[in-house]
Amino acid sequence: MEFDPQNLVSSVRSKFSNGKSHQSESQSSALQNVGSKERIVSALIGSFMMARGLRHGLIRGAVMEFIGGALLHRAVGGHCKLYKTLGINTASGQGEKSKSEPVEIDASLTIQKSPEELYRTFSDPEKLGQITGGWAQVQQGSGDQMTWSLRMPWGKNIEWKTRMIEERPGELLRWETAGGGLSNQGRLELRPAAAGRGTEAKLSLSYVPPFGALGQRVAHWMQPLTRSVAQTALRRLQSLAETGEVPSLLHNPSGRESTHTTH
Amino acid sequence: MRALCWNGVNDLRVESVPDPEIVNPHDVILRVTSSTTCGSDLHFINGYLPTMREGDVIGHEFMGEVVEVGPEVRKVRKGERVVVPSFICCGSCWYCTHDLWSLCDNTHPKPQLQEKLLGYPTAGIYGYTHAFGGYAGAHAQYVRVPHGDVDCFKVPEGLRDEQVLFLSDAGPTGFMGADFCNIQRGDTVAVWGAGGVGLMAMHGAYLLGAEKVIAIDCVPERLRMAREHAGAETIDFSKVDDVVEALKAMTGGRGPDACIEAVGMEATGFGLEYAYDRVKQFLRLESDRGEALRQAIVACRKGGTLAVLGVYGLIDKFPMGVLMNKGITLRAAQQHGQKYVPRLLEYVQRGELDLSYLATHRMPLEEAPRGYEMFKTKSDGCVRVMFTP
Repeated sequence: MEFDPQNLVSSVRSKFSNGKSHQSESQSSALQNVGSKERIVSALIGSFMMARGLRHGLIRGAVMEFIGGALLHRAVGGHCKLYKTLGINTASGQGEKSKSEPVEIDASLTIQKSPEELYRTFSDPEKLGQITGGWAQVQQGSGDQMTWSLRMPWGKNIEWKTRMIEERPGELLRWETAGGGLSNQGRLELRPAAAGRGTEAKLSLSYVPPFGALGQRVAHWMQPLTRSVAQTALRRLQSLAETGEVPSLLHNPSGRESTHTTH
Repeated sequence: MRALCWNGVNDLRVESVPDPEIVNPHDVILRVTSSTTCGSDLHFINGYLPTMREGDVIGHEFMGEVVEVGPEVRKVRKGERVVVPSFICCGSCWYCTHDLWSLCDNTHPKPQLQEKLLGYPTAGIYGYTHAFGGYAGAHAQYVRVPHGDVDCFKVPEGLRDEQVLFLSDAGPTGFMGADFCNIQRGDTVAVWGAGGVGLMAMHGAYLLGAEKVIAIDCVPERLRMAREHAGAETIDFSKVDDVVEALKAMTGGRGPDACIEAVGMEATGFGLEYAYDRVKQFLRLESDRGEALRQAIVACRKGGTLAVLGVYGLIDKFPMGVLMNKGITLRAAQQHGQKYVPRLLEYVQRGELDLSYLATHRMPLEEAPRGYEMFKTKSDGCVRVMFTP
């Protein structure tokens, strides 16, 4: 539950205002914004997705786990951050209009390597390929240009080019789209953490969603997922920099590929 | 190769599965020579721990012979006999370098499965749910060990498998529990659960200087082991009215200085509280039956230490007020095995520790489903079953 000083004030006030019931109702509805029927449906779909997500590969599985987990979370708490962001409330029927703005996400991780080493790892196209390997392919183009391709769940690829617009070794990398499908900007900030705790790496991405107002909604809806993608990229950077490899389940033995024998 | 696979709740089968391969440069492939049942496996066999998939190879307590090494492996050599802690650790991250091995940052291939629940992901485990990494387990002829140089511990000459096997998990887990208790001269340590982990916690408490160790369980053979092998005094909780009062009587009314909980989410009891937990867990209204844990909190002396080694989910009815008002220090972790295995191997070599008595039953891997059934029902005095692939 998020701490909201406004709620605290209103709840204290309602205690001193002859106990008018509509005030305490409005306070609880400020926290709960998902209606009870919808919560049941969320719980059912969420559980199903989490169970099914395990059957799929890294990316599809992760997406299903994530969405399933979020649905379960809102079902249990009756509070949906996405609805709050969009100003939707199915618990009380009230709603506000959403604002249109570019989507910005960021993720942070502390890594046990110097900023300089992390900078080198991230700038190496081969290693960058490993870092983004799970969800996007990166190819070095001419000069400081790179071509990215993102495989979508429905099978088609979205491709775009980026170019570096700022390079401060050991501190900052900044890039932006130089043409292609998805207009976006990104930055990796590196700074030493306190007392030998390594380097704090912050990866920020911002993009203007395609397809106008509809795309805007979809992008907002996808925000937790894109954040998870950024977080995964940082974790892969961490593993690669600290150990020289990314944890993998490739060729992981299981009975799913076996000829069943009785016992 | 042949391997023991989970196919659903209470459905284990030995099947033919593909052999593991070297995937990452620090990988090692072991030919498993021995593996053993662990009580924590029962939680997903019984269906209380989620994120298993049909066909998953299970098993996380094992040892074997190195048969293949990756290109970046420097220390471990082909042909060496090694024992491997159940948590996979990189040896390089902040957690590994601070001896908090089971919290390793770099060995979980699916961290997003844990992040929502725990806030941050832990290390991966062999054969122990996808929430803990989804790695294939070791009840198999072969197993891939990532970060071989960090996770393989060479077995000294002259030691038999059964003397070393339990240093893979039960040994370091139990010893860590005792280590958490910061044992001082004259201390009494009470241990709930006299399975492999609990018995090792009792040995650990004595090795670290405890004056007296008290074991609490209800299985006669296990209480006998606690007395005869671990030198503990025992309480059969099925035979006393009140465990807390019994402990007071045995400690001059002070209560144990430290309590180690080695039971976990499927505790057994006899009273109303047990019935309540049992029904709630059956209806999936709670994930845990926590009677042993609650009892330990009440029994512990004021200002004492409680070490939790049992596996839990999101337990409800946790007596936080008791813990807080009594000023109890709570310590808990999955095993930081890589910290303790070298020390435990020395104890074994010097003859100060011999856990081979835990292996009450031995059978070929092909009979593993029967072995797990015996282990689960504790029939025929079963404490641990040792499998030979």
